[in-house]
Amino acid sequence: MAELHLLGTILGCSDFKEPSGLFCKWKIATGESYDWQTLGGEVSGCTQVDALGGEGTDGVWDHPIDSHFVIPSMIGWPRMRVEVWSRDSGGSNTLCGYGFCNIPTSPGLHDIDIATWVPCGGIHERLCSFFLGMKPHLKDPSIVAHTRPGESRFGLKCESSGVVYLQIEVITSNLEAQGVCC
Amino acid sequence: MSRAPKIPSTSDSSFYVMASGQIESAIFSGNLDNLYCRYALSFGNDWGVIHGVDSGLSQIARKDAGSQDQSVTWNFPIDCTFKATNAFGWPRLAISVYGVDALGRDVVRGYGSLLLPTSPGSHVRYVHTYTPMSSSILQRFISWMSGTHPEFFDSKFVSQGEGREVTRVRNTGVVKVTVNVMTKGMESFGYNSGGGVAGSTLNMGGSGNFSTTGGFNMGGPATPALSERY
Repeated sequence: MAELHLLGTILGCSDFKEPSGLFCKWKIATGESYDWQTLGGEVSGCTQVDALGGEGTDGVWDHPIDSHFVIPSMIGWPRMRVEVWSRDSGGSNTLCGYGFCNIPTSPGLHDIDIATWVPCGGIHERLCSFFLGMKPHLKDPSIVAHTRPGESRFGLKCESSGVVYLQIEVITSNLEAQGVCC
Repeated sequence: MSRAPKIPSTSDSSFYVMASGQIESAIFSGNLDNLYCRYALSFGNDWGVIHGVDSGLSQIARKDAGSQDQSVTWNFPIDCTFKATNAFGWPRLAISVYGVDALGRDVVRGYGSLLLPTSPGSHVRYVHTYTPMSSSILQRFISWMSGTHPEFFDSKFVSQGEGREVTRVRNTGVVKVTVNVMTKGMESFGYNSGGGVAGSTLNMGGSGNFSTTGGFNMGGPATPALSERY
């Protein structure tokens, strides 16, 4: 059975507008058509809060990733989905960005910059977020990485946000033996 | 009975990873001096150390007083060989940097972690360090008065993913680590860790990437341009 190891680090972020307290919720999402099983490690989690990161400075998360999958098919190769939030001094969280990247299929070290975006909504939502501090966010964040048939992102108004830095080492096992070139 | 070390044959039921290198130097924001570092390697259950030490404590280093150079040099060797049956739990280097303050107390100045490179070759890595922050202003005041700043209970905490969301940190500096990695028997396990392209992983400089120190803004006053140093 072919196996996949993802080892790496969510290094940090930069270029976010929020003043401080950035953290990231991450998930390694696999396709739904085939059953990608996890043999070990976490496939989702939450990083530490960089209390000073934000507004011109880089946030440091240094969050380890070590996941072990069985590859049932080349279809549904994992993607990394990130949600960046900022926690203010009162402890309330504000959305700062959504983003995803494809996990590289070739073995070795990969430095990945994930550009993120944040929904801003129409005039009504923007007024609400200005006066009430409630930023619009997605009901189902799974559309960030996967678009199912019949679904569309059309009509969603967004603006660009900061960048998340990911360093990942891919190790495949027994994939060549099955005639797969990656 | 021969006392020569057994040279494992490729038919062994495990593969071997040899990591040797050094924690070369560090650069910290603020006027920090008299720094020393501790490293500990943390790894999964399927891994074991067959040679070398998996932790160490460096000497206390000062900056060069007469120079513009703001870095401290440790030049502290790392040498460890592992035997493993599963790439899950690949070793991580947990680095903690301590400083000696004016009253002679040990104060933590930064934590950071580094995944040992999985592809063979020579690698240079820059580890960004951070310290935990007190959860309230009162605690911050008490810790400032008493000189007991918050620390992680276990220095290997930074190489684990659990429980991280409750910690608030601030970034403090950058540590330069060089590692040479050799692997043996990984191919016979069916593993492909991209060893054929090891040369491409060597060059970490330029391109404005986070993992290099280029353009890293520490947010503090008068931080030297890190890219000039390295």
